[in-house]
Amino acid sequence: MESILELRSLSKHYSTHRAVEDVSLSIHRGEFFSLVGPSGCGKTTTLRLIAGFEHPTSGEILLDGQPLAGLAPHQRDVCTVFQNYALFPHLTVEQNVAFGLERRRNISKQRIREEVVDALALVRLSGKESRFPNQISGGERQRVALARSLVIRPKVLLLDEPLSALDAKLRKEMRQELKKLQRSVGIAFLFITHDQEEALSLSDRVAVMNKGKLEQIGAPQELYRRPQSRFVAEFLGEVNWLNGVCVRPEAVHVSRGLPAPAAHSTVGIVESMTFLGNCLHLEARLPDGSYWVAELPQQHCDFAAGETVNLWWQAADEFQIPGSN
Amino acid sequence: MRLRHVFLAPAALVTIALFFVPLLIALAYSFLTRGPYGGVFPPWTFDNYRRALDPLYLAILWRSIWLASISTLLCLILGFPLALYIARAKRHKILLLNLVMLPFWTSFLIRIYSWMFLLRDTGLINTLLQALHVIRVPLPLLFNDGAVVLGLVYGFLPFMVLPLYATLEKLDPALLDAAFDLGATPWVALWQVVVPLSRSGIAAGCVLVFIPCLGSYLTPDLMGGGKTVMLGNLIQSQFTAARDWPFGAAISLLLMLLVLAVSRLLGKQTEKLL
Repeated sequence: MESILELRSLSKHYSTHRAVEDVSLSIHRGEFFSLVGPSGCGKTTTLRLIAGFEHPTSGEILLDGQPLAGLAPHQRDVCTVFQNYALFPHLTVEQNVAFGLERRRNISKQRIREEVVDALALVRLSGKESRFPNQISGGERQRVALARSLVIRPKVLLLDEPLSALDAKLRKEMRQELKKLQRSVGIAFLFITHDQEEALSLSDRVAVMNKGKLEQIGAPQELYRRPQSRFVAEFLGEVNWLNGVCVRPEAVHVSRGLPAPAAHSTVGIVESMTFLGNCLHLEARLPDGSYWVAELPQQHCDFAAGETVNLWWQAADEFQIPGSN
Repeated sequence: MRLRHVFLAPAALVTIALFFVPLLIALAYSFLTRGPYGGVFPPWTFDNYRRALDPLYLAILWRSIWLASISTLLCLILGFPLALYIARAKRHKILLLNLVMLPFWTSFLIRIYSWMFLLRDTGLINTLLQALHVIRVPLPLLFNDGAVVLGLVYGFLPFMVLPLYATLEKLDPALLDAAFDLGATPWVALWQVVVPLSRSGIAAGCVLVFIPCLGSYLTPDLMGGGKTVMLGNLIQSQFTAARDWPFGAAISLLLMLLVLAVSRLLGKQTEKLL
């Protein structure tokens, strides 16, 4: 696969801490790539280094094979969708979207108008051209920000937690829309988020970052099922531990009788049951004193606290973390 | 009487006694006739206002507006980069703001005299240039329009910087990042984003500088050397040398109307943008 954006041993050190440390990764053409990690892990700094708002302490960034060092933000063929959108409050929706095109030479007013109309249609905002940012909803502002960046056809679109300012319901809707949009424009997206569910559901590939360093890069399924570090395993979801073996809560079955043949199992005492709407969380204490969580379908709610049960799982659902035995 | 009225009363009384009452007296004076040694006498007349429209006085009005406008513009040109720098400074913001206000710690009169010592024929600048044989005859640095504008700009620059700082400090830095990101050069970002979004601060700063400049008295009197007459000097001379209180009162009120008109105009401009 041909890469459109490549980071080579990128580091950014501040006087007091190392925000980004030796990060190398490569994003393919047309790929939806997520950079995920807890707040303060260096993902936003990485994005700002790519956009040119910060300068790396060492390392290199290549965009379409060309090094970006020495280029100011306005000279880089990447574009950012900011966390709070950063729409220009004194310009209308149309003028906001046209802003990037108007910075170019050799483009006619007529052409700009057409491009803006197309971009607004793409994000389903036709008819809102003459509104100001404070006259539209949060979701609409989000789409204006997308249109404003996409209209200049950057080689890579950088998205800095673009969904975090939206409420939960809208966030899920926008997720689907974002994915569709990325497929239709074919531009590589570098998506920054602290929400692992968002990263896993949207991306072709995900990179997990922690304390300025890359922990692991891979397809969502691979990361979730075969994490290479305890941090990745625990950041992407809950993990149950038993003698160096890990099992995700949704892979754990609970029964009073014997487990299915060929399954791996352990016994536990039910501590509590938590109703979560679409499922139940059963917490059990194992003989070694550790706690396990099983995610059960709703109908399996007839266990009582203090009861001894069998916890079992298919061998294929367990994984081990290298070097954690 | 509510408690808040108790607390408002002193300020209200001071305003009524020391502002509205004198204003009414001035209004009455402006329609009366002058006495031979000052003071006012009947009959009531519009003559003072008619006289204010004499080309001689219109020229002074025009000159005041002109000098105040130039000074305001210079304050804006000098103050904007300074305010932007302080607003975007990562450290020492408070220190920098205090430095802007530092001149207020000394009397304005003393500062104007200091300028005169610097600029006069035997002042520091001319003496130095002559000693270095750069010039033979002293440069005419004092007692002209340029000196008046210099004094006004010097005196009122902080009044431009502070409101500009207040607006620019609130400007979301992400908007500048967004502008650069979309291909704007720093110059374009300044004109397309920073300036439009700081219009309310620009308008406030211009009002705060233009109005006191228009009615200023001390600076043109001392640094203009009596040649450069502005409205403030004209009013002062009517009440003293000319002993024409009614005419002085009439010009004062006209100046007030002018100031009200300007602030309304710029105020509307500000409101529209908010």
